[in-house]
Amino acid sequence: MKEILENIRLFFVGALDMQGKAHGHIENEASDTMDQFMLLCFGDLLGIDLPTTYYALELLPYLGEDLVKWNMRMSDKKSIWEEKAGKLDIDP
Amino acid sequence: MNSLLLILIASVVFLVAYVTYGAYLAKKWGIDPSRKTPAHTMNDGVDYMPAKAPVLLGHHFSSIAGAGPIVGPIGAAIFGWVPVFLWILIGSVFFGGVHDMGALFSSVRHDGKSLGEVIGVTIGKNGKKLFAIFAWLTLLLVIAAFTNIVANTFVAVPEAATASVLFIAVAIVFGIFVYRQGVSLAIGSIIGVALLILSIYLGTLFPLQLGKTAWMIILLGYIFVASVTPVWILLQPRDYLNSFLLYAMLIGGFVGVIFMRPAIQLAPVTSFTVGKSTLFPMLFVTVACGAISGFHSLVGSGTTAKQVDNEKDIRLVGYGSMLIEGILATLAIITASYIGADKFKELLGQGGPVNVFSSGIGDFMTSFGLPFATGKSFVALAISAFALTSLDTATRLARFIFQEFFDVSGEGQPSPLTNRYVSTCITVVLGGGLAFKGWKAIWPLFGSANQLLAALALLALGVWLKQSGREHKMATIPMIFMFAVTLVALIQLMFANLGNILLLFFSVALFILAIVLILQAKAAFSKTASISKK
Repeated sequence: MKEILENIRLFFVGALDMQGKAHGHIENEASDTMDQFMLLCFGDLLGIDLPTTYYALELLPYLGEDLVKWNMRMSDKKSIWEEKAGKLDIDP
Repeated sequence: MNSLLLILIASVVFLVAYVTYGAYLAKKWGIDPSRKTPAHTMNDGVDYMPAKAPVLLGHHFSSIAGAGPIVGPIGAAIFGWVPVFLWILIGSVFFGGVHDMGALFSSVRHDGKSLGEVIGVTIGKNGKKLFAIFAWLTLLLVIAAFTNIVANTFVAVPEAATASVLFIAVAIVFGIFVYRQGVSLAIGSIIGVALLILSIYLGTLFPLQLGKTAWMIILLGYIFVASVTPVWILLQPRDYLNSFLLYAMLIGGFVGVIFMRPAIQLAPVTSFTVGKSTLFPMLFVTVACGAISGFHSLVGSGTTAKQVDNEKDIRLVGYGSMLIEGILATLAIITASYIGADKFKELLGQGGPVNVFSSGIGDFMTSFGLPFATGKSFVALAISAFALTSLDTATRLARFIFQEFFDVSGEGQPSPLTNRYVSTCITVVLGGGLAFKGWKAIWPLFGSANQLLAALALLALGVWLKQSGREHKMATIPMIFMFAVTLVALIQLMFANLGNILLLFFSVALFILAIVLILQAKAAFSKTASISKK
């Protein structure tokens, strides 16, 4: 019984998800913008010839922690509109 | 017959289906609880991270719940409540549930990739292009249908129109204070909800009465502006404040039904032919979102698949959420059938399905003391608010698809079609032009497009299941039925829209794309190359 009530509570936590609903779109946009900035700085690491990479190296101490995961995210990007569809929660 | 019996029947049928058919699907597809999901193997703390099953179910259901499962069943009630209710039950269990669960499962097994990637792997590049085109056409039809429906609602319930306009102002102010000035979310929410209640009250005092054409133009202008502004100004605050409205409305509606226990008065079955529509196929394309909807696969493979903690949760989240949506569709059919045929036709004619729904829920809420006018205005505001946010996101997404389709980067000057304002303008003009044709003409087209999107997802699922040596008939048989229904519907719509260039264009375009899709399906299933069992 306790488990059922706890599951119902968790259902409403997920359904309401106030934090997500309050900040989700902004966080997604901010994350995408940051990824694009990293692309401008370190595009060379993805095989894109960008002269900015040389100059952006001094930003490495600040951005380096996320570099590996950024690389994974950029390699995984296949279709922008589909990723947006999932994040925009489009369902009429 | 009492309407509570409908909710009881739906609940029991869905519970039995979940335990039996859901378990059957899980077994036949080889859902493996010991296998690590992408949420663990590709955990990045941002998109890929595991979530507990009930939390994910709540989140996924929240994403797929919309105005569609409300508008569709009410629109189809012209055939009587029994065919609509039966299709909600059968559709959710054998069609929509399979589609949603299958899309989620195939995405999880493809490293949480979106459905388009699964289509690319199983059907090929043509399948991916078809997917993008179907999605874009469906989004245009969403824009057209919902703009018309909201305009009708504002004409029929001008109190909700005032409240909606004030809501936009409240959302903008909320956005500025919470996201720019740093006011805490809790305080901002309390003030936001208080201002919403004030908006509803002011709406009842100062109803805004404008003509339908005026509302359509205002709404199209709003959609254009809302979809190009940064998300923090309108989209984010609206989406957040909407959730208060929506859940208050759902709770009020269900509690009201339980207190009032209205009796069903609408005829169980009216006729096979009503006006120019025939039960087959129109029932099936009108009740789209309440039985099977292609959009659910976009949501499921978009975010949900990346957060599945264990494969055994896929049945609960994918299949379960569709069944809960069926309960919402059942509530919608109750609001259409507890009133007699004359009252139903009158409300539908005055203000469309949202007018019927808001009158019904408003009436149910009088059982616990809320005045009818306030309740009706509140529900109309809630559905309109939801529809307006869907319109904003649909326009954005249609613009992204359009931009990606016409992106010719690396070949010189970027096409003007990829410009944000040009692509939004084209999207809004096309959607808006269609909106003036009326929701009754557009909704079957939207339903057909949505079913074809679902058929494409079922095709990808069926091909993948077959290629990996799994049982696939539970996906391919619903897919064939979707093709049959939509092809017949589109032929009927082509003949019905002969005098109307824009509607005829959409009917013909969807028909041709459906044929192309069927040919793709034939080619994909004939392929002898197999993928080793994943």
